This record gives sequence, structure tokens and C-alpha cells, in this order.
Amino acid sequence: MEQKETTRRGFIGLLVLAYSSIALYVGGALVSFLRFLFPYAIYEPPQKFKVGKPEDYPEGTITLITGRGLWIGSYKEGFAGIIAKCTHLGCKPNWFPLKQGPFGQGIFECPCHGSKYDKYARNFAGPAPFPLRRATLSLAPDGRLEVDKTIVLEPKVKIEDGKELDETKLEGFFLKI
Amino acid sequence: MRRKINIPDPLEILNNIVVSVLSYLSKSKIGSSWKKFLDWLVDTEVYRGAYTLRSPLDSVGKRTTVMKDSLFLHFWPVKTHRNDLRISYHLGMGLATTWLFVILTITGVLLMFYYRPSVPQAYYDMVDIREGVYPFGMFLRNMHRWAAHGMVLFSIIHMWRVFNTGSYKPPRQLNWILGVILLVLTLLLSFTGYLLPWDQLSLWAITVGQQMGANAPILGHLGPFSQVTNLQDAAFGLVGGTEIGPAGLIRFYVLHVFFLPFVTTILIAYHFWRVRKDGYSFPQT
Repeated sequence: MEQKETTRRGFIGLLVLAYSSIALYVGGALVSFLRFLFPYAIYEPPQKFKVGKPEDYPEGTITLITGRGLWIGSYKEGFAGIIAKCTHLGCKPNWFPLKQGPFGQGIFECPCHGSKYDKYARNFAGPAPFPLRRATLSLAPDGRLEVDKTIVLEPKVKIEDGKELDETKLEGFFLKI
Repeated sequence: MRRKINIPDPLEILNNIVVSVLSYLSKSKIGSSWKKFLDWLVDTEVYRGAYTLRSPLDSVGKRTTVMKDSLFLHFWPVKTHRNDLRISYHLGMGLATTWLFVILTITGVLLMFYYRPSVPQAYYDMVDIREGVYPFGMFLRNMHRWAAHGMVLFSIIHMWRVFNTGSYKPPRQLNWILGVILLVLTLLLSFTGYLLPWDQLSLWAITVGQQMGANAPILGHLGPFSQVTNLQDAAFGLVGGTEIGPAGLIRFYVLHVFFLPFVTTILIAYHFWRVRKDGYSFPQT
């Protein structure tokens, strides 16, 4: 068999090919290592779940869905899925239906740094920068409310000092039925 | 008048000690067998491999070669200036930080014998270590804890000293960058270790860290220009779930006991090597 002579240029080309295949291999390995950290299944309650019929939540109530870190708030404007995660540093606030706040009865209070939210989950005291986030609510074909925690709404409504709250600012953050 | 002082070769010191001990011991029977043992030791492959002694150290060049070729000896400079040894100049904080890292490695490995990083056991194992189920358990845990606090503090003081003596300036820029990376690694080690006691303080402290990941630009699901959901973002990658649970504990454990110390050890070695190569920044007059 005839031996073909390698030119300088050809050799450089071979080198480039060799190094780029090594780089491709290493890069692919790194990407797969990173991908390894995101499992196909996690042993947590599902992010998308049904929470019962709208009639189960009479107007004016805030109901904790135990184990899901979520309240279903029922207002005259509609339903809201309030995520129980303080917007300050991520602790779990509590709902006190009988405590009197400056903007009506019933407040959310965070045990970590004392952030307070009114019944619409708008922050009015403490270090929380904006209202509690909302999970997306929808009405499933079977007539039950469905929550999707992967799609998060952020009602960044500002509360100005000493002024009455404007409820219309929260429009679009409720599920009307 | 200032003068340069030459630090004697460590091998010379070792040799002097050995010779003086030998002259004392050689009077007895043990002395001669000790001498035989030393002769054998110096001739072993391990010793010769470690010290690479091929000819008498009769010139500065040869001494330098020995220093350069031996892993153990090149931690010491061939010669050093009096100013380099002044504690008021260097504060010794880098060395203190390194020793704290050594202490943390040793105590940490010992704690690993009893600590199980799983949700039902982690907290109770920590309490057992702390409350005296294991001999010296409380001492070792506290040593680990205080050394961790000290490492953060001392590395910051070290950085402050390096800044004030201008040691970050050329030709030492790379070592400053390495130092900054090492500071970040130190903080990450502290952060990952924070979760391991698995109590309320740990949980909410790491929740704060998780929120930072969630609020990161582009890669966090709450951050600006977010491109991901809460199942794909940086916070999820950090704790292995949407909330801190069993997956998060084992992730932080692996980071804390293997990944971060591994990277830190390599970078510390490189940091030291660069100090040796760049020389000290103190006035050599």
C-alpha cells in the first residue's frame, strides 16, 4: 500500500480535528454531569394538582392546603393560589384570621423576620419587598380547581405609606368563575 | 545597617541534628544499628525519590535544584530576607488559615465516622456527637465549628494584609485572583456545612441561600430574564428539589466533604507554589 505523505497543513488540520473531538467529548461529559443533577422524577408532591371544587372555598376564607405550601384564597374578586413562601428570604408565613391589621381583619405573618401581609397577601410591614407570589389557578374539565406551581405570578403591587389599598391594582391575579 | 541573612538548608539542619544525635548514640550498641538503619534509609528508593540528592550540596545552584526538585523541600525558600520573617509585615494569617484548613480536614474526617447524612439520622447523630456519646465528640465538633469560623475570619484578615502591603500588584496578580477564589470556596464550605446539623437554623439559613439561587438572573425561576421553571433552575440544581429535603442534604454533604475540599486543596497548593515563585513583596533592603 502506498504511503501518503502528510503536509504541514494537513497535520495541523488533523490536530484541530483531534483536539476538537477531545473538546467535544469533555464538553459532552460536563453537560451530562450537569444534567445528572436534574432528575426525571423527584419524590415530592406534584407541582400540578387539583384542590377540590370552587364551592369548597366559601368567599372570604383563606384555606391552607396542607403539605403543598399553598393557600387557596377566596375573595369577591375570585380565587387566588397564594404560595406560602415569604418574599423576603423564603420562610413559611402563617395565616392569622382573627388578627387585626391596618387593612382589615386577617393577616399573614412570617415568623423569621416579622414581615406582614394583608388578606390579599400584600406586604404592609417588615422587610418583605413585595406581596406573596401566586401559583397559577385554572378550572379543570371535571369542575375542580387546578393549581400549577411551576408558573408563578408576581403581583408586585406597591403599598404607599398611609394610603388606602387599591384593590383594583391586583386585577388579573384572580381566577374568576 | 540591615544585612541579608541566609537560612541554612533544611537538609543541613537535619544532617547536623542526625550527626549530633549519632555522636551521642554511637557510643552504645544501639548507635551502630541506628547508623546502619539510617544508611539503609538514605539509600532506599523512597528517600532518594523524595529528596533527589545526586551530588554534594557544594554550590547555591545545586541547593536550589534540590529545593526545586523535591516536593517537600520547595515549601521553604532557598534563602530568605529578614523582612520576610517579620510577623508585623506578614501577620502569618495565610499560614494560620492553612493550618485551620488542616484542622478542619482532620476533625471533619473524624466526624464523618459518626455522622450519617440522611434525614432521620442527621440531627440525632449531631446531637450524639455534641452531647458526649462519643469520647471527645463534643471537643471535635466544637473544634470543627470554631476552626470554620476562624478560617473565614483569618482569610479575610489575610486578604486585608495582602491589600495593605500591595502584594496584589504585578507580578502577583494571579495569586490575588487565586486568593479571591479561595475565599469564595471557604465561604461555600461554610455554607454547605451549615445545613448538615439539620436543625431549624440550618434549614432556614439554607432556604435563604436557595432563594438567592431562585432569584439569580436567567438561571433562577424568580430572577430577572428568567428562562426556566422552578424544576430547572439554579436553586433546584443546588438542593435537588423545590424545597430543602433529603436530596438537598446529601447534595450539601457531598459538596462539603468531597467536592469543595478537593478543589480547595488543589488551589491552596497552587497558591503556595505561586508565593514561592513570585517571591515576597516586602522591601528587600
